[in-house]
Amino acid sequence: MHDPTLIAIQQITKFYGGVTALGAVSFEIAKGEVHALCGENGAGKSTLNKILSGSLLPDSGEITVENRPLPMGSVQACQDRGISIVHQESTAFLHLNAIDNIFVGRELTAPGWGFFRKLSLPFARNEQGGGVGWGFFLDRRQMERKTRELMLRLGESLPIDVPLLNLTTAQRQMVSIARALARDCRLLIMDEPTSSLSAKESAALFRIVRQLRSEGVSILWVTHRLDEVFELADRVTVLRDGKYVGTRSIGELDRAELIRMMVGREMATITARESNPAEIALTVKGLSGPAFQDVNLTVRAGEIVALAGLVGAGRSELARAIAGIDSYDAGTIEAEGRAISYVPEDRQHQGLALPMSIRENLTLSVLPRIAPRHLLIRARENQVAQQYMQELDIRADSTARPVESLSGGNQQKVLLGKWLATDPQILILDEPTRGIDVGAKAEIHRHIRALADRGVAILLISSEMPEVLDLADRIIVLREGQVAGELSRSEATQEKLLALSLPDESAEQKAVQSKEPIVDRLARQREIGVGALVALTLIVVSLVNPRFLSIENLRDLLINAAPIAIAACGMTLVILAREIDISIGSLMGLSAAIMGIIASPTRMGGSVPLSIALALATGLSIGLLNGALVAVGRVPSIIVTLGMLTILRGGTDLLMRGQWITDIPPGLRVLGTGSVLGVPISLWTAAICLICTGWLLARTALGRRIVALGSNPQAAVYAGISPTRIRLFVFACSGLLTAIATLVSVTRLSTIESGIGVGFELLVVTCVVVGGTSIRGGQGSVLGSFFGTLLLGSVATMLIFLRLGEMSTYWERAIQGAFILAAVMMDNLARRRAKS
Amino acid sequence: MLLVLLMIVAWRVDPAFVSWEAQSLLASHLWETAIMAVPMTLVILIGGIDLSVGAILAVSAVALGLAFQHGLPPYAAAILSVIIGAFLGLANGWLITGLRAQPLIITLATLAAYRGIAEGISLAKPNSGFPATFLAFGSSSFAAIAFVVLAGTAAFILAKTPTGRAIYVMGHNETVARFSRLPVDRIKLILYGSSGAAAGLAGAIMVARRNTAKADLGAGIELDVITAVVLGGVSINGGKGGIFGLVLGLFLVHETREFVSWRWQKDEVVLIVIGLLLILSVLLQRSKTEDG
Repeated sequence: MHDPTLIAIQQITKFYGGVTALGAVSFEIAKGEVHALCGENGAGKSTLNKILSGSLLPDSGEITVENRPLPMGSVQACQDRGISIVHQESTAFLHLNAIDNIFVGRELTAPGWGFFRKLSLPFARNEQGGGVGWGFFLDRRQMERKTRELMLRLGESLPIDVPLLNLTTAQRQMVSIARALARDCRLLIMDEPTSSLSAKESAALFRIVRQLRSEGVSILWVTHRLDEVFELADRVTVLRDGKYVGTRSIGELDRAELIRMMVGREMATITARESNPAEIALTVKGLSGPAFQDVNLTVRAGEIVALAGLVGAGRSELARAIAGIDSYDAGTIEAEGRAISYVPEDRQHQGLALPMSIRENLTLSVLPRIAPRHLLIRARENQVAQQYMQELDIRADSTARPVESLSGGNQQKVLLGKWLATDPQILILDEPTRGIDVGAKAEIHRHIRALADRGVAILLISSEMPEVLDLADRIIVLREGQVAGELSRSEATQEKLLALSLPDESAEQKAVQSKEPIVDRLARQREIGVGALVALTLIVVSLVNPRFLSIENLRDLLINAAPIAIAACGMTLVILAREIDISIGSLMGLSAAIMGIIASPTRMGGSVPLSIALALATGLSIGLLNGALVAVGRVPSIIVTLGMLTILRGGTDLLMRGQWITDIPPGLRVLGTGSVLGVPISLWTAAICLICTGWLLARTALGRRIVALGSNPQAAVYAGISPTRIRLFVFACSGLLTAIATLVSVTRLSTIESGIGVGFELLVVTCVVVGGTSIRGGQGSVLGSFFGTLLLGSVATMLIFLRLGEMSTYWERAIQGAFILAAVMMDNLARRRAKS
Repeated sequence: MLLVLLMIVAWRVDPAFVSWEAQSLLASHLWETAIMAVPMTLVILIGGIDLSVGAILAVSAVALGLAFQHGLPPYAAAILSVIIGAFLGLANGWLITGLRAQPLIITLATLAAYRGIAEGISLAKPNSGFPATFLAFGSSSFAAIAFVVLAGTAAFILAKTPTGRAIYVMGHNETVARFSRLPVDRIKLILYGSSGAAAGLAGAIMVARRNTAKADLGAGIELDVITAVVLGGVSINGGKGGIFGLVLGLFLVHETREFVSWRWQKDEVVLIVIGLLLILSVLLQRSKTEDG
């Protein structure tokens, strides 16, 4: 009846410490089927996913793809054999566009340039040293053509040259699917794919899944939504407590049976609650904010009012405004002194401090109560924690246990307890059962009902229609920030809810169009902006003092900027990869000392090429050392380079023995003072460095991977990029470029003293940040850093030329600082504008 | 933490090094670092960082010098320098909370800006010739008392007050703290403000100790401060660590300094050893947590 087996999972077992996460699980996935994988949280679904996609090594067992064993624990190998995963949390690179997202880690490259390819291979190669035969330079036209083909195949028309930042969640998911297809995917694992999609977007996804199935792709659909299983799947496999329960065809199964398989017992049928609403507890009148307009609603004490609608309809924003967490523009909220509590939707990121204990989390919202006169009283704390632990039946051996060690359902109970402790009269629950299993869900529902029976006014936000229909006395539907309608319990049906939730086609079209790439434009404007600012500075100063624009002066300006620009190239790479290198100032001192000591006739009297070579080698090896400590030792880069800063400075002082080197041989000084074709050597060097780094970033696979790593380190690993190698590479570059900067700057002076390069790191970071590179990684360019360098350089010169007098030079650093602040403010402004 | 303890024990065991005079006399330079390290610990605990403390120290010191020159009594001038420090620290806090920006970048900017202001208002000229009454501030005992009071207060806040609890939560996850309606922005303002105030105090002490106020005082001291905090086992990502660890960290830095300069008679080696210590301690911490 089914097509032949594609993948056979045999006796897969995985232990976490003493706990069996998966115990000898075996089942098969046929070719071209949609195979649902169900189970409560903690049943082992995600562990199995990780093993299948190669990011986790099982303790025993085997997986075969078409009867050939699959190498375990390698993302790359799994992808090579056609297994790809689309994650629950989007693993997209938000700063990259769709094309790059699809191909990063598997770039298409133009043939040729064998030398560069060999050079870059140790860094760019995949973790397994994968045998991908790619060249050095990206074949962008080919990648774009392939992307268009894929989008056509998926029937999607999303803009492919815009950073994913500007796309909707559903569109990002499409890009992830396209990425899997680009890798000749034969099994697509989709982990809770509809958890953040609206009903309409889910329908579109279902269509694509069916189409892929007809093309012969198998899909493993991991979900806790039973509706989806029945609508989409051919077969379903159920796991419970890490054990295989069974695989059934959908035809031979009904809903109750599936739940029984998942829970291991019959679920008690829920009896409708006798609602007994009293006086009005909450009145919202004409409330308007960024995401909602003119909302009117009331909630009575003892009533459960559901706020339904699609994701993005403004429900959470409205709830946060009502709870007083976000501000709003107009309208009134009347609660007549009743306490309002908002239980956020995302327990990991908004609700709980995961590494802290149950006790600390449960008491977090009621600190004043357990700490009268600002002193924590342990007895009261324990009392509160014990009370809610019992009341909500949180299963843990002690209140001291960290919340992260609990199951999802128990975490959700802690979350609920944390806000119940505030003893609210009005409780806003935002997706209170998202991502938890059927059993825990029923328990939470029971608690919600009990609260309403006790007279608490409850506003419930939920994307799950059965939950809304089941719990609510009244349903208010929000559509695009406005109240679209209100339904009583008796008149509400799934169809009516959906009809009210869905926006008009025309309105939706408009919404998509207004999402034009604002952020993208601003990011590009940033480079233009800094460039324009440089030009403006030059013009203004030259109007005041025409001598400023003289060739000599501009030449001086560039020569001064050259070493900074060279080091800034390296720093740009480092910051793009979401690291930082503050050891470059000390490194400059050390390489200068080594170069000087070797070349100086009175010290070692070595040859000039030898001194240059050793200075460069110093830079490179220190850079590699930094990189190794960060990449392999997993020490934060700020710590590594801070330590290195101290070490290198000490080393330099030791070498210099407190003396200055004044006899640099002329052969070496030529580097700083000489020129080729009338242009100083330092400028040639800077130009070459800038062009090479710029090219590396814009045109090569390696460059794309650096940006990808900085944009989303976790996704980078899934894309088969080796973070270790990339980090080694950027720090090595930073070290080497710093040494080059040393060569052209120190040789301009006639002396080398041990204080060379003090504070250089801050100057370079300043230039890079002012040039628009985001300290959060993933965004920025070499061109921007160059403009940043010029801007700071021209400001320094400007101060002299504006004849502000002798004192002006002392303010130079203050102005540098002001520039960073201005850059941060610009970023902030851009982000805000992008949001609205 | 265990590692830090072990190392101290190791030094203790080394019989040649137990010269009690050297042990009891902490270098004055260390006291200034220590005073700034207390609020820095709290700042790093909430996941922040303050790179501008050295520059704030300089502004306060220069302002103190100028105020004294204009006839302000030395004590009033010293108080003024603490107020100026607090003000500059508050400015940091205000920028960080107002712009929702990364503290690393903001304090990097103000590091440059404040140092520039110090240079600008002093025109890089030193001020000296303070009266003996003022120079008493520079004594180790005054600095020691200040440190003990600060450290005690901070340890108390962390262990016993809701603010301390809030600080740890912020370090683990700031959004969670916001949703729990903890006064996140106010705590940030206060912590950066006190970091500035401590830098101002350290500035006054440093001026008194050296009998000179100039714009390059405290250059690079921020790195010493951060090193001591991190060596004390405070996680640079926030949320983990405490004042007890900091005291050990300071102790370790000091012992290392003394031991190395006693053994090799060279300050350069001290720099190298401390740098190594910093990297190694975090490296070992990492490998320990990954095993467990």
